[in-house]
Amino acid sequence: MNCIITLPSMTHAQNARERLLAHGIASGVIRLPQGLSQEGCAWGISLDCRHADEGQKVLSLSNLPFRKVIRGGD
Amino acid sequence: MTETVYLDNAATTYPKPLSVERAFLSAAREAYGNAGRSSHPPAVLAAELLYECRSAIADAFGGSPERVIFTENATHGLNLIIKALTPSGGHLLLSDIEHNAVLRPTVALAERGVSYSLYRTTADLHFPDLTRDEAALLHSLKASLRPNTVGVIACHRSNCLPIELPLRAIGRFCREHGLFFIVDASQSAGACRIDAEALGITALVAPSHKGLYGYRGAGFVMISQSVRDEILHTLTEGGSGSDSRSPAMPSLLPERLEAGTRPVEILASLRAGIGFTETVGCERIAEKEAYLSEYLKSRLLALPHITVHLQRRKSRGTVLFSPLDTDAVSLCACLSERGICLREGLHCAPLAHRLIGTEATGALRASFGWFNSESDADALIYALRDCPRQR
Repeated sequence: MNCIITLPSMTHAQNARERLLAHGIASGVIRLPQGLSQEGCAWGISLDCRHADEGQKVLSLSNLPFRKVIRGGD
Repeated sequence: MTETVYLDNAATTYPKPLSVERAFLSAAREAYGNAGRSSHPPAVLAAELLYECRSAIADAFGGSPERVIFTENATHGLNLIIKALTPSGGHLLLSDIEHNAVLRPTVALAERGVSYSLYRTTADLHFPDLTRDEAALLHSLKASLRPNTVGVIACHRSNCLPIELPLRAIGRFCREHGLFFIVDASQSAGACRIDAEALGITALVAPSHKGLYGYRGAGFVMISQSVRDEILHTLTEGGSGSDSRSPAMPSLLPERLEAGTRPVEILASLRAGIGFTETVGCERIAEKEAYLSEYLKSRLLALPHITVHLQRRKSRGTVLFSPLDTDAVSLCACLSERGICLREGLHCAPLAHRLIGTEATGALRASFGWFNSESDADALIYALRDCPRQR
């Protein structure tokens, strides 16, 4: 199952992807559907839900401003 | 046809490395989307190139990719960060060799009640002594402090005088006094190791097209983690590809200070240019530029109708000189006809020229890059002997 961690911009999503990769977690940058973001035009990273909790910890420790985690389907 | 000898690298370096040309063309052909705006492949490729460039800058200068702001050039970057950081009524300390890219935005801030003082950068211009220079600079900084002083701006390396400022000492002074520290690295980036975090630099500014060997049309400001994003005043507002429902710019960097489309081709060339300077090594680049400028200086000193300014100071890539028998503009024109590319005038640095007494006359500057050789200096000397002198 894939999860999405939302971030405020594509740059932050790219940065998050690199930070996660440095911790052995693969993810991809995606553009969020408008309905998923209150702010309009937002970005996120998609990753395996098994790594979502660890991913959040990595981003928190890196002071990366992720907004929320959306647990989705396959 | 006259062969061109390019000695104006302090204005913009030429030629560019082949890797830079290739990166530029490749980006123009393949990454033609608008970075950070869409999820189709050309836009994603453009966004990845921008991120690679941010990362390369952050790695090279000791910062974080998301705190690298892309600008039109160094002047735009300096305007942006000076105006973003300086509160109304604040007082700034500028060195006595600052370029107009720093002086003019600072003067323009007078309408917000901002004032400034100049601090001296040398103990004795004509008798260099790094220890005494640093002591004089720090003493001058301290003497210029006011209760409303908010920051210090330092031109790391003058674009026309053989003067380089001690960033570590200034950074320490700023930390001790709670001041922000802006560094204009236009002439040093690519030829000096600069670790912004270690040096206590709040914001480092440089253009793409000088010592980093990219093309003209971009620059960057790298901002320290110590600055809270939301306090930064914006210079321009517009599309950012994020938080689009908000009528205000996003609160976070880099998008907060990046309105509108970024020049992906130029930034791809900057990325490749940084790679080039790292492959060659900035120490080797600095050594070669210093050697060539010292070589030219030694040959100029043998010409009776030429005076070399601040000749006791070690040249680091530029040599400033004046003719004794004609004016700088006429001599530069004469040299130009013989294929020698120099720059005459005030070099947009009237403060530096005031310091050495050439504000009224201007002077000629020869500046070297990695691709120059002794034969370029020899060609200048030959042309100087050949140029008719006005009496």
